[in-house]
Amino acid sequence: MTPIDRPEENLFELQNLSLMYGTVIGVNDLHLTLPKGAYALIGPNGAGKSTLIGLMTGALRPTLGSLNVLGENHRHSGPLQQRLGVCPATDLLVHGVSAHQWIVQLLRMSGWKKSDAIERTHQVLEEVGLAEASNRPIHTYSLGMRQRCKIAQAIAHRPELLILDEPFNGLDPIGRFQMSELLIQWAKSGKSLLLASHVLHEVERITDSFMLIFGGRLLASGTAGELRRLLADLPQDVIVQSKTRDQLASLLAEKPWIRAMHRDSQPDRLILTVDRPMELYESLALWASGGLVSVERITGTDGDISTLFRLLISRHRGERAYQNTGASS
Amino acid sequence: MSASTNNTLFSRLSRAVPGVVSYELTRSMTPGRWAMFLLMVSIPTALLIAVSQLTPDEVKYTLDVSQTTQEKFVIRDETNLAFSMLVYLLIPQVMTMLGMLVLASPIVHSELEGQTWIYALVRHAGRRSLLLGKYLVAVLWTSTAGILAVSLATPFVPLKNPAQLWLTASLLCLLASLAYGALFALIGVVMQKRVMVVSFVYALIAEGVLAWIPAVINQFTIAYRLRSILFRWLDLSVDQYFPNMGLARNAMVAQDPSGWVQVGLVLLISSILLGLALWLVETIQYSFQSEL
Repeated sequence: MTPIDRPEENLFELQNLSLMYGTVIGVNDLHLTLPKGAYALIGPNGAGKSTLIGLMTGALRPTLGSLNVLGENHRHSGPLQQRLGVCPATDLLVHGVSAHQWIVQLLRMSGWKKSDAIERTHQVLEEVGLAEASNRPIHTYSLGMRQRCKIAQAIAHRPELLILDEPFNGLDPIGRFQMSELLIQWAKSGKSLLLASHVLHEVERITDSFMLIFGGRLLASGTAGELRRLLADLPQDVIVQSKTRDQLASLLAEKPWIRAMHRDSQPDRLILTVDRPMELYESLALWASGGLVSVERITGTDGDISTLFRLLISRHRGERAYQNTGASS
Repeated sequence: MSASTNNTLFSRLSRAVPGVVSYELTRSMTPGRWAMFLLMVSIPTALLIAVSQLTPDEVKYTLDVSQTTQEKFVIRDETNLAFSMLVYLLIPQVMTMLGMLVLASPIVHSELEGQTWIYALVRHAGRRSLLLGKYLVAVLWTSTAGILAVSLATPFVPLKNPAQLWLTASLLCLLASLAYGALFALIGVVMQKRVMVVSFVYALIAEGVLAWIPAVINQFTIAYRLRSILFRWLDLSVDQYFPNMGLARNAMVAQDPSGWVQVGLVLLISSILLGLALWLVETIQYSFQSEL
């Protein structure tokens, strides 16, 4: 069955999904419905990415809530497993066997006939560029080759959804480029992809749909455009440098979208926490053009996804945003 | 695509298990495994030959009084009994049990430790086929070592009917491998830490101590069933082997005249233990999420 045959199916349906490791929260009360497509799961180390992937693959059971993957309950995972390809984050530590032997065995474990498994293994190793080294023992491979070998086993049984956990780990620039190209091709073929990474810029080439996770919570999800709009609506810290700082402060004090104002130790600097940054920028432009105040410099968040991510994490941690956003003008 | 989604679990296993067996056999052909195999064969063989050589002839043989025309020495009943038991104890009982302990206990643990469990986990019937395939490979290695040890030792041991002992001990090696393999695989599936230690302690207490207590408790051990088969098939005397136990000696072996009931029971026990392990391996959630 191809994805086209089941257009109504969602890729993931998460309802109140929580998982506890004793008293430690793995993921916390996740609600999410995603249609088929390519997504990046972004979060720092320990954010809960691997736990969420473990839940999605059926390796872990939720403490609370439910999870459907490709329209099927992940615990009744037999038929679902045929539709999933998983590439874990861990290095491939297999000794004494070649990539060919390993993948044939995994295909046979998926229920393939021996002759079909051998033929498909040749194909898939060709696809990932390991054909020439296919009979070499895996433990003699470079890290990049082992990563490609892991990808090969994940796509060998022709899954509909490919789940990868930190596929760029340890790869050199050429390896990263090759991996990106491979995943871009996968996404272009119309199949679904979930890519977990802690490095945002690595996945921006592959997909523009992101889920930001931290502390086991889903902080935000959407396309880059949607997230930028979200960023515009979120409270942000803005530093304004003005020779008329006091006049500016008195004008701003009347505005409902100003949450907080601080005088900086440096002269002429005003630090603002603003609920609706766009309105601030419009007002500053208006006042400056009317000669009411002078504005020398405005320093704020730059509006990219990584800024949003840092901002959301800062908010989640209860920190003041500007201390951690790495704001740039 | 060859694996259609409506394939039954059985048909998947029938394809997957031979694949795992073939893969694991290839993987297990290491110098370390061959060294272990060599030790499993040579240690009991050497011990049996040494004991046989060091036993004085007057202990081994007696004059056959039924011969009237010329003198002929035959192996004493006590010697035959003692060496039959020694072959059984050293090879099917101890060597096979320890071999399966080493190979079958860590079936799941070694995959978790090697970070390869995830690859079986995300495949339909992956966990079951992995467990069953690795179990069969362990049985193959251990029973082959046992049968080879029996074959090498039997010609050097004073026995009245060496062919009968070879056949019985060889079958016992296979049965012991199947049963202990299933037992240790189950322990390995249930325990996630210190699998070998737990298996060893269990083997020591249940199969080493409880199996030799003349009470109902010993009937729950695999050693009791294997010993019963040995006594029945070699027609050994319980009265002779356990002379000081009084009526309690009857509790040392099963009162099954043919021994085939015991063979069936060993196979049944193996099937139950293995079935339980196969069910549990599919349902237990193993702690590997940090490596996923």
